Amino acid sequence: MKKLHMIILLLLGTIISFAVNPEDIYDLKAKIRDLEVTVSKNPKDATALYQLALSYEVLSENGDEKYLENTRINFQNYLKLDPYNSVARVKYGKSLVMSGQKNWFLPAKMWFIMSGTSEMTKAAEVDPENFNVRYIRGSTCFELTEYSFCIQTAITDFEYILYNKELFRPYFDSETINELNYKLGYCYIFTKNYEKAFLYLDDVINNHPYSIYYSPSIALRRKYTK
Amino acid sequence: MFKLKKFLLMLLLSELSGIAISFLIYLFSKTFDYFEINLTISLIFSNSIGLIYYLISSIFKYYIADKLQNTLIKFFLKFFVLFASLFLSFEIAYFIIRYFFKMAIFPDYFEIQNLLLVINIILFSVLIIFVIIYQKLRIEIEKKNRENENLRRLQTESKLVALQSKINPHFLFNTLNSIIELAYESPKKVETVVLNLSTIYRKILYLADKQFFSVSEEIELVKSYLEIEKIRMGIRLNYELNIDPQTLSIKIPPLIIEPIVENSVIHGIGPKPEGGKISVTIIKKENNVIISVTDTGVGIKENNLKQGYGTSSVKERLGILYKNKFSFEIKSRSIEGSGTDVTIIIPYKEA
Repeated sequence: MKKLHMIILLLLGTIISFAVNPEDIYDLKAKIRDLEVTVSKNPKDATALYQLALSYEVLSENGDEKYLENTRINFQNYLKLDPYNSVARVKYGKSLVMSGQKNWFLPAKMWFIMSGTSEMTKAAEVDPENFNVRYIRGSTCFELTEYSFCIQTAITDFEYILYNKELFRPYFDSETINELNYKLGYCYIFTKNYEKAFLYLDDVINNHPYSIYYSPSIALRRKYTK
Repeated sequence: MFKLKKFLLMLLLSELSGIAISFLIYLFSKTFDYFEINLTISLIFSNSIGLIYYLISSIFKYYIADKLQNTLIKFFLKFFVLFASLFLSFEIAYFIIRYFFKMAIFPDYFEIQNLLLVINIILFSVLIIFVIIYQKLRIEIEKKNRENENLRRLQTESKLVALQSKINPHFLFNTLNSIIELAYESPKKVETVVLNLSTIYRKILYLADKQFFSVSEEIELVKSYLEIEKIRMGIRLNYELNIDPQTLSIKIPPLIIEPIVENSVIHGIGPKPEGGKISVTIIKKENNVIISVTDTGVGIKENNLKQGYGTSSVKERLGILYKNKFSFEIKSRSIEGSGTDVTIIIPYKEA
């Protein structure tokens, strides 16, 4: 049994090392260096700032605080030049929330979470029918289940996407629908609305047995079925 | 309990702390955006902590702190008050933000609150343990102080009683008369008597500073006294000192043998026309020193065994110094008029 575990671990390690291609990161870092030069020469170059922020966002996905801070600052600078880019705003909000999750100083943590969610709300108010805005806000709030007010926002956004799935069809595949169903089920379990939760979970369980969300949905369903 | 000046000072400190927290948030975020949120969070935190600290510390100071003298306990108490304030202020800040401002910015998990609660419980337990230990020590020290005070009092009283008997005109006149007689009959002995008399006064006067005498010092005093009495009483008084040389350096409380010997002379041999003999024996047996004073005087009747001040003071002092590890016994011999035996057993104490 131990040998089997070791083999699985080795295989996983190999898959991960191939998935995160060091060459891609090297290219991205080179791109960032070029963009930094461009921005230093022309700080009002909105396109370069946006590209720089997006590049840092990719690097900050692993939670590196230095990249997270650069993402935040660059989005902030970009939004001063182009305040109506709702996707940039929601991503700025997300970076603030992520910084808050990393912060140890409680008042600062609160400020990051509050201002991050405010930025995301602003973006959703400006562009409520934008799939990216709704999806990013919903996913970010889903990560903040310890804050009760975030659960409701996640439910609102995910349900909005699901009700308008025909409208947003070009943006996502059936796996995204499974993801949203599973996450909605999870959120409703969190709010103790089991009837609605099971409705969403059953959709994954009954219609998509090959989905990666199938097993977690069954596990959740079993755990909370009386 | 609550002083306005202190309250205003605490309020001012809270506002200043609020500004400091706000500045710290700025250092973390590097932006003045959402400054109203920054300031609200800072002020709620600082005011909750400041006011709760003021409230708790005032109550503690009023009811407990002034009654405590121990610095360590006071130090722990301050720590406890600080952490208890932090815990309560987080709870209150959470309540205010959630129910009055309708901003659920605090996480719903209670890790911080739990951590503070655990710290509070630990500090409170340590504090209770310290208070219990402190109280026990205080009681113990007070008891020791009382005993020392008692011992000093008894020692002073013993010294006074011993001095009184020595400056009593009867003793002094008799001694002086004996000296006059000796000056004619045996001038060489005068020096010995005067030296013995000065030894007695010197020993008694300077014993106040000492808690213990060596056996040799006490015996010197007893011998000087008996020598003087022997000149006064002549052949009516004989004495014998059987001192184990090993015991000479042993420490004993001062004036425990002399008052007993004095009793034997005054109440035992004195009233008997033909006189008698006094024997003082000191031996070491296992871990004890056995002191016995016997005389062949008139003895004490059973109903008169109640001790005089000299002997009762000896017994009381031995009680304080050796607790229940000593024995003091006065026995009148079975044949009436054949003498008295006094035996003291105390633990061995080397110089």
